[in-house]
Amino acid sequence: MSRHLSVLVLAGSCVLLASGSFAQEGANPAGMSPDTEGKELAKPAPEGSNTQDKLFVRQAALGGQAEVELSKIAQKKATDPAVREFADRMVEVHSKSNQQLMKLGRGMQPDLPKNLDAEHQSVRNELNKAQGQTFDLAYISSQIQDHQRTANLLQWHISTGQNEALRKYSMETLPEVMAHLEHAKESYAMLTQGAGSKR
Amino acid sequence: MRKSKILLSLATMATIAGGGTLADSLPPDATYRPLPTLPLDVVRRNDEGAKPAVQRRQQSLFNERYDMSDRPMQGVKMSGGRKGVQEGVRVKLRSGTSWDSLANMTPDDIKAKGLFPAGFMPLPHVKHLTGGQVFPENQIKAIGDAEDRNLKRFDVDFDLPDHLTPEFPAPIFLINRPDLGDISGGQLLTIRNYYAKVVGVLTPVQIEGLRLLLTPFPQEEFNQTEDRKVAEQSDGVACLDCHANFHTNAAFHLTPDVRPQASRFRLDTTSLRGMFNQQIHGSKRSLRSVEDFTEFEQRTAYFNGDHVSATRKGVHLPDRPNQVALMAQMQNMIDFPPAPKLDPLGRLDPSKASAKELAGEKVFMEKGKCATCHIPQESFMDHQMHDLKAERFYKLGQVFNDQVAMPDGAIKTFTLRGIKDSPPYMHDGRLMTLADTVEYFNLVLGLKLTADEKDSLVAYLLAL
Ligand code: HEC
Ligand code: HEC
Repeated sequence: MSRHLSVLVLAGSCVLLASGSFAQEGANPAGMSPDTEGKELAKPAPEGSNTQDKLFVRQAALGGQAEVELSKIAQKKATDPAVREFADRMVEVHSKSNQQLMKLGRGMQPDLPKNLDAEHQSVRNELNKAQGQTFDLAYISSQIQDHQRTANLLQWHISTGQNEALRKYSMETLPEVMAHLEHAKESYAMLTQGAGSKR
Repeated sequence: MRKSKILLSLATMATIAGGGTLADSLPPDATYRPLPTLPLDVVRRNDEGAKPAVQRRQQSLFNERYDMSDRPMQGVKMSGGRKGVQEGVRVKLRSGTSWDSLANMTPDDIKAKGLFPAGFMPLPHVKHLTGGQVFPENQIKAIGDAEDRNLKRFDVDFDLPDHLTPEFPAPIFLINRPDLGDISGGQLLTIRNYYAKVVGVLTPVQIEGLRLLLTPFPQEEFNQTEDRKVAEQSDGVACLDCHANFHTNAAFHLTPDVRPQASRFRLDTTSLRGMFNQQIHGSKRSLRSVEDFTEFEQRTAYFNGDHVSATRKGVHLPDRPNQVALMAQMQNMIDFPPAPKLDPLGRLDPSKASAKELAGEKVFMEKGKCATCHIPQESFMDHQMHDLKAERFYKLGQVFNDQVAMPDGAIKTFTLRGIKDSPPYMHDGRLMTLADTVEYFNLVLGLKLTADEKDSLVAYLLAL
């Protein structure tokens, strides 16, 4: 998106995305890789990418995959209807988001994970064993942690990434992830007050 | 985390190579300042090339959010008598709304419909991903002329127009010599001119404190290494480069206390007037003494909270008993400007105040609830931090000019003494006029003030 176009979009609607989201416009060039294309002209290629972009795709894929897999367990096992609804939403939103990420990141040859990482595997084991309210709490707790990480990851990528399309993805995804985090924190607080139990 | 989970993760951790590292932890540049990878001339060429677009982008954000025009009030001046005070609400409403219609909506509703005025949201740094200290043109010129020291960055310019910043140079009032009035002589204190102005007025300890406050020391953007934003190797910055004449010149930087970079918030320089009375320092840190804050500024704030970077660039670590104490004592001598209409308890003297100001005081004390936090007899502070929860009104995580809009969290109650002298307002300078602050609190505290009540409240604030 050209800067002028994005300013127009911003002025014309309540789409609350940054005007001119070029990393290269706002980033500190002192930290740019010496082989950044176009850096001499103060216009690093918006379609180029840096190591941070590449690492981002990998880490985001790791989190996204876990998100969907763990939420699928919750779709089957959650007791509290609000928790089940949350799981439905996570599966839907994160599946879509993962696909989008793969499309954008394909060219960067990220070192993609094949399986869940060890930490998420242990969460999966725990969820497979837990029942009832214990399950709901364990699932939401894992969601809080995952969304914290994803929110931090997106904020870091917005801070350091170069690829324009990928940064746009991060900027669009962040408000949603933060809303999920809010929701999960609230839900956890409610569960600890007895929601979903027969109290 | 529950116990079973801790055990489980401990068990699995051992099996991950490099034990203890999470598979998806962030790299160090999410917290630490990376070492520069390019030579200064390449960085500079790049920064200078990008600068016009950077400035344009910030100007369009300002114009989208605020009416930036120069409209001083009739008759009202800042305390030095040299600069007008800007009038009117400058934050722009979203189309289809009015201040009254917003006041009658719930926070959830305003949030869902995206109707919170953008000017009420966090204000980004002019170049947020780089951040760092940015000085106004008047300060750059005065220091260039007096000391031949360059405070101009090659990557950014100051982003606010002069009429929306404090009077420069600001008057200086002393608590130890209340008989004198303004001792600045209308000039900016610098390392070249301070002595003659204060000998016979200040004590030896205070004068030495003043010397240190005017002495430049290395800082993140102004230093001698290749990782700087000023053309020549620089001696650094002085405390009073921002707290000009112990007030503020609206110089700004980013909070050192938050990571990653995009989520940090802008900090507008606070005035040092009346600090002798203040129990907590810094909008977020709640440091408990002027001494602590003085140490913190040079060690931590100058380097974005990164002690690694500080060490490399030549940090000045002021000696606690011999330097910090002196600097702090000097800062504690600075008084608020005169407020002839206030009595010793901070209440308006009815024989001096106008009917409108008195009506404003009534709103301040009662319907407006202002005095709950801004307590008149405590210099309009309460020595507490409060979370106003403005994010009830907008979606978190939206990005404006590379800044992620995060919740402000708890912020210190600022004093309102001499408040007409220190635009822009709030910790990040997101509000341009006092009328803006009244609309902000009206909405955020759900006060439903009438137009007359708002007007009188502004008149009252001007009398403080
Ligand atoms: C970039 C300009 C800048 C420079 C240079 C600077 N400050 Fe500050 N100062 C600020 C800002 C911005 C704040 C508000 C910080 C906050 O809200 O957390 C502040 C706050 C303070 C406070 C606390 C005021 C209060 O109301 O609680 C003290 C004390 C202080 N500075 C002293 C110093 C000293 C001493 C130095 C030199 C070592 C110094 N400052 C250098 C910008 C600056
Ligand atoms: C809950 C406590 C609280 C109440 C009530 C309150 N304030 Fe404040 N006020 C604060 C805090 C905290 C800040 C700093 C907020 C920030 O910077 O984000 C502040 C900042 C301000 C500022 C800006 C000060 C500066 O130096 O930039 C003004 C002006 C102000 N308040 C006026 C008012 C008025 C007028 C009212 C009543 C309508 C009011 N406040 C009610 C806590 C309060």
